[in-house]
Amino acid sequence: MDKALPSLGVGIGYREPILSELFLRRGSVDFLEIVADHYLDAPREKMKELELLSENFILVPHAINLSLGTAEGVDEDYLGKLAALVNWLDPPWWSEHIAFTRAGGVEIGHLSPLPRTRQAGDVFSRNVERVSERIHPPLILENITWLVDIPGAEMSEAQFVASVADQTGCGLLLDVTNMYTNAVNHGFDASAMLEVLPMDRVVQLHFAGGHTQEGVLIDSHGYATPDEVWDLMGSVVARAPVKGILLERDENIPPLDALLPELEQAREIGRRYRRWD
Amino acid sequence: MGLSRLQGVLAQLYVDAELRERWHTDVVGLAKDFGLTAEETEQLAALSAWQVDFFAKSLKNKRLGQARKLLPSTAKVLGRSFAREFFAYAERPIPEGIDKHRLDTLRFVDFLGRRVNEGNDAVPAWVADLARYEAAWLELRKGRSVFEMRMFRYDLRKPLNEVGVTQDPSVPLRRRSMAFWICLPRGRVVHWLFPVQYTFF
Ligand SMILES: [Fe+2]
Repeated sequence: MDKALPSLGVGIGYREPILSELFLRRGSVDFLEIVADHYLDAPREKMKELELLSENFILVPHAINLSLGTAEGVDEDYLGKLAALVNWLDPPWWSEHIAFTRAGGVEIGHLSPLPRTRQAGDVFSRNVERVSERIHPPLILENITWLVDIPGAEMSEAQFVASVADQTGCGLLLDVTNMYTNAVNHGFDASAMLEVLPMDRVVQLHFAGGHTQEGVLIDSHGYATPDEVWDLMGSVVARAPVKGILLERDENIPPLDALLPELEQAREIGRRYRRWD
Repeated sequence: MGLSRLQGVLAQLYVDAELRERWHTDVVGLAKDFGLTAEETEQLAALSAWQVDFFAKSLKNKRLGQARKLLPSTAKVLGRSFAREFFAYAERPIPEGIDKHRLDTLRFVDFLGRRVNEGNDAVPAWVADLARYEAAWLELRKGRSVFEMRMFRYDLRKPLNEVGVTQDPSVPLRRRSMAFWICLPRGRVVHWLFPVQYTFF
């Protein structure tokens, strides 16, 4: 991982409904994350929107369907398109998930957990190696939420994330909401993960609020960030050289102004630990 | 377990309702069909049924959410039936590729049309027309086509006007209508929807 990554500050995941407001509130948003998949094979209008965003904001591409954990290897067609996009944007870094989304010709349609085994770690790092031959900016890896606990695990979630980071040499995008969600759903202590995760590799954070359905906490990115997540964020920022903190909002998207207090709160946490001014 | 084999089985379990049913009732037979070893079969059997079912359900809900966004008027008019019809359709896996949610939604529109043709009255015939109308916009928004034309069995003008203000627009006249869309530069679209007085097709 490149130690000289710039400190970006606080950002928000770009969603179409907030486009015009973003320009009015440019001073409150230091960077945007764009979902890379929305710009692969996109119509010209969508690419123009991207150009406009890139002229006005620092953009960090976030991919969701590269399926870095697939044992059959990554889809070369998808990789080619993603490489063209990311290399063209030339961001400070880009991100993908520690997950698989397809296997055996079947598209799952969602990030799915990998078996927490050495073999899965090997496959993952082989795929990352292939990807870094094509995509030049540094890749950082995000922890996902998982419900299905795949039998035969050789390590805990934190150990698996740590070993993947170690094997690939990638930085981490720690989603503190995902950590909290998994901890609630599987009955462990999220802050204990911080003892195991390589905090020096944490580059960026995600945060959001979810909801409960049939007793399961869902990371729907549709509600206010809960206190437990703010506390966890504080603990992470205190220990990790975080370069950016980003709010994800995908459901019940309110006017941007209603989200700015959460961005300010995150900015304040970064300031408290001197991650930025 | 061979990781690619395990992932292949998991992926199918998550998206295929029939296979999941088989896994619930006959995991050994299923494992045999997939050529799994005894150890692999044990691993498959040790998966939590409620976790797999919950995940499968949330995958379908995610697809439903996307379809609702892409077919807002159809979703509004069908109300609760929209989800019921979508779940009936979504027993089939999501299409592959970058554009999967749009493709998924277009296939769902075809499914609604088939429901009507089969004489299933859960979906009013004019609503299947409405879905096809919204599907045409989806084709255009992808930027692939510059021209779209659709014929409808019903005059969709009235329900399209009403759908913005009421959840329950009146059933339109059973009178053929026709729509054209032409894409112009800078993302503009010209669009006509008009009743067809004479059968000239
Ligand atoms: Fe995230």
